[in-house]
Amino acid sequence: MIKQPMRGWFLLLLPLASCALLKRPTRPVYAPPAEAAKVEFPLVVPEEAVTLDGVTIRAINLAFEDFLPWDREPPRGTAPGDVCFYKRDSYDVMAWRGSEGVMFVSIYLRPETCDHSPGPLLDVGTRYAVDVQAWRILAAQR
Amino acid sequence: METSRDARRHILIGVALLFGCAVAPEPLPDSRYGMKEDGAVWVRGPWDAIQPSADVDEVIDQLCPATVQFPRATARDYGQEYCGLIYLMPDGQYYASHAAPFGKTLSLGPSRKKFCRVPIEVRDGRGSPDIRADFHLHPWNGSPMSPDDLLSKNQLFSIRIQFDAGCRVLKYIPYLEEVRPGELYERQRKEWLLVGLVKPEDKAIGKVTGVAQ
Repeated sequence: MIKQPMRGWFLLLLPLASCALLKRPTRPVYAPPAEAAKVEFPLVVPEEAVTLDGVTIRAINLAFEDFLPWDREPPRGTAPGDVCFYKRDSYDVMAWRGSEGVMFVSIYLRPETCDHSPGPLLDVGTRYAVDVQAWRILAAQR
Repeated sequence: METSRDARRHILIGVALLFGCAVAPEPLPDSRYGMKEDGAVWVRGPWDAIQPSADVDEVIDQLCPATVQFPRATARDYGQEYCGLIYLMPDGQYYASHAAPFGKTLSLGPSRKKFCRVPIEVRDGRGSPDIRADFHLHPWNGSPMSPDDLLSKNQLFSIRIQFDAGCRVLKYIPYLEEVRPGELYERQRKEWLLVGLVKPEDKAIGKVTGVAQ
C-alpha cells in the first residue's frame, strides 16, 4: 500500500522518466569560430558538383529514416567489423521518379566498405517506393 | 540432518551434470559447406537433389523447387537465405553444389535484413570444378535481385541466378570483361526473357535500364 504523498511523487516521476526515454535528433555540431574563419566559400563550382532537387532529398531522407533511423545504434554484442553497417555513410543511394507522385530510392552498400571477406555479401541494401505527395513509404522491397 | 540431505542432493546433481557433459555428443561439423578463417565460404558438390545436365538451364530449373524445401527458406522476415554454385565438370555436365545458409542478419530496414555470402569454392572429390554461376534464394515472395545483387564489385562469376520464395527466377550476365551491356533475364516457360540491360558505364552501380521494344 503506497501512502498518498508517496503516490504523488511517483506520478511526478512517470512523465520525467518517459521524457528521458524520448531522444530528440541532435543539432549539427559547429566548428569553433577560429576554425570557421579559415573556410573560404568558392565562387567557382567544380565540374563534379552535384545538384539534387528537394523532393529527391526528402524522399531519400524518408527511406533512410526507415532503413537506418538516426538513433539506431548497433545492437549490444555487434562484432566490431559489423558496426560499419550501422553508419549511413557506408551506403550509396540511387533515386528516380516513378509514376505519379512516386519516387523509388535504392540504398546499397558502398563498394569497399564494411565487408572485406573474399566472397561478396549480397542483399544488404533495399529499394523503397516513396509517396512524395503524402510523404509515406508505399513499399519496401525485401 | 537436513544439511546432510541437501549436501547429498547437490553431489548427485553434480555427478549427473558431469555424466551428462561426458556423454553429450559434440555436434558434427556440417560437411556440405563451411567457412574458412578469412570468412570465405566453401560448398560441397554435387548436391544430390539436383540432376546434372549438359544443359545448364536444366540444372537451373531444379534449383528453386529444391531450395525452398530448406528450413525457413520461405519464412519471409523470419527466413533464411541460401547460396550455392553451379559448376562444370570434365565430363561435360553441369552440377549444383549444396546451398549454404551463411550470411548475416542485421537490424536494417523494414525487417531484420538477411544477407547472403557468396561461396567462392566448390569441393567435389571427382576433379576440378569450373565454377560458372552462383545462385541464391530470397525468402520472400516478390523479391527480385536486390541493388547489391547487381553491383559489379559483387560479381565473381559470369552468371548470377536469383530466385524468390515464389520461384520467380532471374539471371544476370554482367559481362564484366567486355564493353557491352550486362543482361538481366527472367525465366518464363522454360525460356529466358530479356527484361533489362545494364550499360557499361552503369555496371559499377548496377543500374538496370529497360529493353527497347
